[in-house]
Amino acid sequence: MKPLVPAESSRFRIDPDPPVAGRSLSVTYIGPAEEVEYQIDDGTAVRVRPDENGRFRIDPVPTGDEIMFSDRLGVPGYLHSDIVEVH
Amino acid sequence: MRAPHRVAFIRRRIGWVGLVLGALATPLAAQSGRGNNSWPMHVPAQFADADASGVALWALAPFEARRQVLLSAVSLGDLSGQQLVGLAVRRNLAVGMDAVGGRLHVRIEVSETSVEPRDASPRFRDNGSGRHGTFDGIISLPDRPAFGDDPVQPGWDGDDAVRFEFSRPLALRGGLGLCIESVTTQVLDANGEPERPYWPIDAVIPRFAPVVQDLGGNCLQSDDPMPAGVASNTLVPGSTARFHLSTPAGPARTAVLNLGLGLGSQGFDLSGLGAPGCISHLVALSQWNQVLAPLPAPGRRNLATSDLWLPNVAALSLLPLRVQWLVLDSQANDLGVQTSNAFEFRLPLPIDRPATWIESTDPRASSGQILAGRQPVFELILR
Repeated sequence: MKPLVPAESSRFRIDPDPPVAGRSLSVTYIGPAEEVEYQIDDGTAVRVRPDENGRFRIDPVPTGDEIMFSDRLGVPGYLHSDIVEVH
Repeated sequence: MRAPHRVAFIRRRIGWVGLVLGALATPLAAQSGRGNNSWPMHVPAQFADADASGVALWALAPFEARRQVLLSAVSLGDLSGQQLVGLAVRRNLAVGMDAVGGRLHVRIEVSETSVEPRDASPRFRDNGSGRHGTFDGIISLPDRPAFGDDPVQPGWDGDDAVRFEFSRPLALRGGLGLCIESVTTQVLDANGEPERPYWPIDAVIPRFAPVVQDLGGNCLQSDDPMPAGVASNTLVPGSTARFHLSTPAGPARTAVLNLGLGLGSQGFDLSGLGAPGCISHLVALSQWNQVLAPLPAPGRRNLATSDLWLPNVAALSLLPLRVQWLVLDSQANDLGVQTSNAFEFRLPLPIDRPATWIESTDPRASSGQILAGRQPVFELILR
């Protein structure tokens, strides 16, 4: 399914893209918010404060179907991605 | 990073015809040097040869936007009799990411202004008008790799800088500030898909840390005890504070942002009115209705935001202010109202700033969010 908010348009960048369950994910956020959040499926939203260069890491990426990032400042500050399972 | 794959993908989609047309339509050369008669002025001057504190997506962002950057008269000095013939921006060493190439349509208008950054208005037309220098065209940004472990500071003339040479220079009267307005719109490739270059640039990004005290009172069904919050670095006079309410996914509802004064330390328990667990913590002075709407895509969350311009006046710093959302939901309880957590803050006293930034992610917007003190590091090209 084609996401409505392509990763290329977001203030978030993730590496690797798409994220892989069980592996580390590097996230770079370039925007005006000091604190952002991410959520996996219907789990609890996790608040994160990126470092001075906008980076933070999720290690490892939990198992799930989808991950979303938001700076709560609107659509450019939003990123939604599927999570890949590698067996 | 995955830039090589993305670059290959973009080039496949554009095709050779698109690349040739793009090159013909490119009025700037990022690699071009300055003319013999021109000289550079860097703003802020201390970052001419060193990185500033941050990274920002300015006019080279992958999403459409309208922005203004106001530079104070003091930061520019006396430029009377000079001509502004262009400007440049460059990458920041610290971001550690590839810059992804592609095309964007950028229109830049630079005008002199008597509006100081501390007095910036969220309405674009209030900040700059009249005679202006202009760049208007499609720019082609190159792919650039992330800087390595022992990077060399990028210069202002190489591939890690982008230069906008004005088709119409601006003759400066001097003694005034500058309003640098940019409108970024996307360019479609041969397949009709928007190109999305990603070019973070060096920027000054001040950090503000006002004290925000959570007061509780939330009775919304939430995975987060504090579903309401504010971007705390926007709680400064002269900025646009952006308040948010973020909840798990559900149907769209009306959410009312209340700004007011304290209602005691315990608040007013709404249980007796049919809203068990809900506590009101303020006497509202103003209210704004918003929609607590699902975010795009599958929408794991709902989000409501509300912008509040904080004028640069000391009176706003005298009293602690409180904010709390009310969500209107006739199915939630007998009262049909739920409360978010409330929080209290006191604004710092206003101070002068050398720059400020106004941004809307709608390129046709008439107003935007003010981000006090934020600015790209510019090279102004004067003659």
